[in-house]
Amino acid sequence: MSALTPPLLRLLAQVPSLSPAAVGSTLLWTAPLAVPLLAALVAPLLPARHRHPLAVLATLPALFFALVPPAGPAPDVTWLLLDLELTVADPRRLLLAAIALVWLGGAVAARDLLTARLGTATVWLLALTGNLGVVVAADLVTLYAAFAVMTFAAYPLVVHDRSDAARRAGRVYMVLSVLGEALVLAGMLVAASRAGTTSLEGLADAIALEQVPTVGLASMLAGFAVKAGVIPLHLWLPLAHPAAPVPASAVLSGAMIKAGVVGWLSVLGLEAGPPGVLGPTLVLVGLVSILGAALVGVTQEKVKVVLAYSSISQMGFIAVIVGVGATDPARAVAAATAVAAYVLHHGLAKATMFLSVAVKDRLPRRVVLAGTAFAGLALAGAPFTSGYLAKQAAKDTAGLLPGPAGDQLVLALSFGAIGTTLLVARVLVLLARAMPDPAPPGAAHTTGRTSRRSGSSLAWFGLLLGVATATYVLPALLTDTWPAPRFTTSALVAATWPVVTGLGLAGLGIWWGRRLAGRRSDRTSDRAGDASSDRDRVELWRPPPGDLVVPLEAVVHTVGSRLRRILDAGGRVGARLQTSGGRLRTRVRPLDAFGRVDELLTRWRALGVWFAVVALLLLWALRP
Amino acid sequence: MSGGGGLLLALMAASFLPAALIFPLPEAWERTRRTINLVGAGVKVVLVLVLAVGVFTGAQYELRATFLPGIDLVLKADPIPVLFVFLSALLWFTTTIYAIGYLARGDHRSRFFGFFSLCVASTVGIALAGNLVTFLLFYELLTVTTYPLVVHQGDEKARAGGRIYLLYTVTGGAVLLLGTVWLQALAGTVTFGDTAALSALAGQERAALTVIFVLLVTGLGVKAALVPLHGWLPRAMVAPAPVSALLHAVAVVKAGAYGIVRVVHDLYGAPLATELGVLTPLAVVAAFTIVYGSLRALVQDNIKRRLAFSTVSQLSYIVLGASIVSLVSVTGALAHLVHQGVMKVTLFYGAGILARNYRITAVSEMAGAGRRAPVTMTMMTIAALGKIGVPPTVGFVTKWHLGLGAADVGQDWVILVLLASSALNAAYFLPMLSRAWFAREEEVPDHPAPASAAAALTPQGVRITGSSVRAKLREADLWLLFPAVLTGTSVLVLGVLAGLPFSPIDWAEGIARVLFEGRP
Repeated sequence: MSALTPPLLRLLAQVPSLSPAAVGSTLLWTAPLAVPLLAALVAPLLPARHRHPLAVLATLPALFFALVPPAGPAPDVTWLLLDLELTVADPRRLLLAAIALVWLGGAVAARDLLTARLGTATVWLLALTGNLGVVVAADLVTLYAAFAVMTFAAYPLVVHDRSDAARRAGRVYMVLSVLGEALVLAGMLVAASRAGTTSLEGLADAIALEQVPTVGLASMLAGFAVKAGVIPLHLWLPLAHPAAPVPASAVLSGAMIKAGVVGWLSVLGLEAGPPGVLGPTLVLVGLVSILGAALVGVTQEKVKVVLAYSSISQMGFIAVIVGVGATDPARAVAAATAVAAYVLHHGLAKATMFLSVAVKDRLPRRVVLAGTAFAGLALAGAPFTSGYLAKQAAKDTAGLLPGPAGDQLVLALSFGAIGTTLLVARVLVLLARAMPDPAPPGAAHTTGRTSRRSGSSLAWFGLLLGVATATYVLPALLTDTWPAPRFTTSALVAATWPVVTGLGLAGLGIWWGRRLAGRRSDRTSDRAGDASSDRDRVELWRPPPGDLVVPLEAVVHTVGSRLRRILDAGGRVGARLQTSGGRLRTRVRPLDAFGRVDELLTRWRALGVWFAVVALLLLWALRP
Repeated sequence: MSGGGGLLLALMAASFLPAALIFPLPEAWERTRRTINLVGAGVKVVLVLVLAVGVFTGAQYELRATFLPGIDLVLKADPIPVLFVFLSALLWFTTTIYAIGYLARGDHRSRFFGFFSLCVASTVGIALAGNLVTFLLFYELLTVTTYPLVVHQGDEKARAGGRIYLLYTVTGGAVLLLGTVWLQALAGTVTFGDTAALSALAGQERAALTVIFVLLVTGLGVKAALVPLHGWLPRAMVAPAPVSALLHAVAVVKAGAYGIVRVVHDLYGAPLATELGVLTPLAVVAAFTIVYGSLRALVQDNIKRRLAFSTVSQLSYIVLGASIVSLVSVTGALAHLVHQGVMKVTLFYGAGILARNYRITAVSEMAGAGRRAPVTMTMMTIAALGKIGVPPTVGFVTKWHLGLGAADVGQDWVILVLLASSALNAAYFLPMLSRAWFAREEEVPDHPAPASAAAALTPQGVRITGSSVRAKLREADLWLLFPAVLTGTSVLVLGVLAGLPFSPIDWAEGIARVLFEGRP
């Protein structure tokens, strides 16, 4: 018997798994991913007008799946990828619903985007597939595959405008993403090798037994952190978000960056107790992100840049919760649930605020500002918004830290909410400035360059509804571990004072800015006459969008051109060797034979025939 | 047992016979030549399938004949050879189709296709060689039969490239010959797979065996393009695209890499090679080649030259995997024989279509290529992402196994090399793709009218909508497009279905198990 019979037997062994029940279970479980994937393949073949409904419908299986997961265990699809495994263990159903809702909103708003070019719908749907796959993946390879598909598919969305700014954003995005992917893969290879398995469960077991080196886990953590956009790996975010078309920014910020967080939850093995340094590191990174992004963000001048910094700041909140969960297995469940609720809340609120940029030309000024303000208040965690519950869960988790550390962390998060409120106020100011004073009735309709039926208003209202209700309904419905919300006076006060303080500070800032601007215009109006266009602007030093990326680009550019020169020199050395070889050839006559072989070529056909015939005769002679 | 030799003979004949028939054909007999080519390639695919099924169900195929006194020529269908023959049969089939389309209006087509067939016949011989002497014979044959293909264009540049090619490969062949003769003198004829024969000699002939190993690997390393023996490869780029595709995917460079795998695992065997301490240096050379090739690729503007340096880098994945004694990484190395083949052949098909129909030969000219040749660029994109190692392509499957295997035996540095290579691959492939797909209208250069009549139907710069997909499919005729689509999609499909029995990685794992755990 040959050694290779087993594959044949294994192929035959697959036959029993083709029973209707097994096939049905596989189809059902893979549907949330398979449907958008198939839609991605089909999209280019459809007429442009069908691509928009296709992208909208493609999110529904995942949503349905999150609400009503199929009974029975997940099938082990051994023949897909390297042994595909799926899971909807807590809190993944909630995460899946959150991600799917944001994509649904984004898709509804993306009519113009999805029909503009042939490939856009395809990459949109591929990114959706990847994003959902990250949530339900139960093994490292599937997780990485989904993550990578999402990352690469998002690039065309970032550079959609083809402008120089978009391309620069795309470049920075890609460089950091490739770096992140490399870190994730390195960590995964080490982890999978030491754990002896690729399943996340097996990995958690190995972490519990301290078989996985900290450096492997840290590598994965850092890799996913690039996607999550926490400082100092946030550099791509403030460039990519403003560069991308609005619906793409919405899903990028609302859903895709959350894949980094899901990655953290997946590989860290919170319940297994990951190594001690990782938790505190994440908390620290989170706090720096909350504070740093708020500080840089309030100085920015473009709505989408401010929103991007706000996302960095919010991802800092999530990093803090994950970090707290990683400090002790006893806190793991609470942390994971809180993270999922926070992902839901931030995803909806942030997607809404991004879409505000799209609807500002379509809806009345007051409606836009009111809706944005509501989403912003939710983002800051004001009472009776969806953010209230999410922030409460987050603070409760932070309070689980023993001793004064817990109280201090809760206080820090409250201060963070002040920052959030300031960013929201900045967004509102910029948005109000971007919209002309109440236009005469009817005039608003002519300003829209794009078609009126773009769907963004519908999506905006839908998402606002979600902002108002989602955390009151979905976490309790989709997880078993959601704590009962509290509406006690102390809880309400705890949620209110950061928002009020933030609003107060914002008002103070606006007043001060007006005063400064007024003084300046007094001074300049004598000479320039017309300074009113800059009337309410203040020229302060502000970090460029992407802050640290600017000096880094300069360094990379310098190093790159040096490297190129070195490599060119390497090529030249090779070329010189070749020419000296050539010189040698002219001196050494026998080597000229090679040259003369060329001339033989015309006769080579005859040679070739003889050669082939002789070979055939030889074969004939060899016949057994 | 030596039954079933007839099948091997038929397999060889299926390559030699078309050559014998094609050479005398007048140039104008395009249809006849086309038929012979396709029938030959098709028959070979069928024969290889029969062979594969036979080997999988336990049949033995061996052909033995006396060559010189005491030296037998042996063809033997073991699992590794079958994997390689399978690859060459399939890619020869697609490349034949491609070459027919590519050279539709060229000169010297009978000469070209004749040597093309001989070249593939040599590859089959290399694959099936049962001992080193047989291997050497076909290896040299390959050198000779490839030369006319490299210089096919016949201009001074082609001849210069051909000279360099011969200089390198003939010298490499001589070194390989030296090693083979020495080994023959030392140990007699050693059959591939009989690693015990050399292990028995390890006691008293340690030094000699080490030197022979170095000689063999150096000789093979020329074709496998190990740095610093890689110089011929970028220069051989003067060859027409189908030749480059074949050269880079199956024939020449693969023969070198395949030879190294066989020398390490079927001749010396991993235990002996480890004991001699030759594997770590080999791994280091391979790692250096991986990084060096990628770095050089980074600064090439000519598409084919960039791809050539990429080949230098990717081939050493195979060598690297083979020189790490771990079941998983050897699995990755063997599977990469196939994986690298389908990825690189797709890239060269694409580069050929761009050069022939759109006069795009440099990366800097690629702006707008995605809009003008969407199918071609889609396939190139898939293959390039595969080279970077993005899942779920086959490139990722290779990288995962190489890295996992290295981590399994504590050689974590290999992971860093793989990641550096991925990052560099991204650095030289992604700008290409980005330029092709995301250029602004005004950046698309004005090119002369497309060369093929079919492509001329495509209006330039027209925004693509769903209804014009059909029109866009005429970017090249199907002779060129079909092979590219076939191999391009298999880059994805083989990766997605990696867990299925008989996928390359599964096949490779079975082979690696035999190598490491012995025959059950």
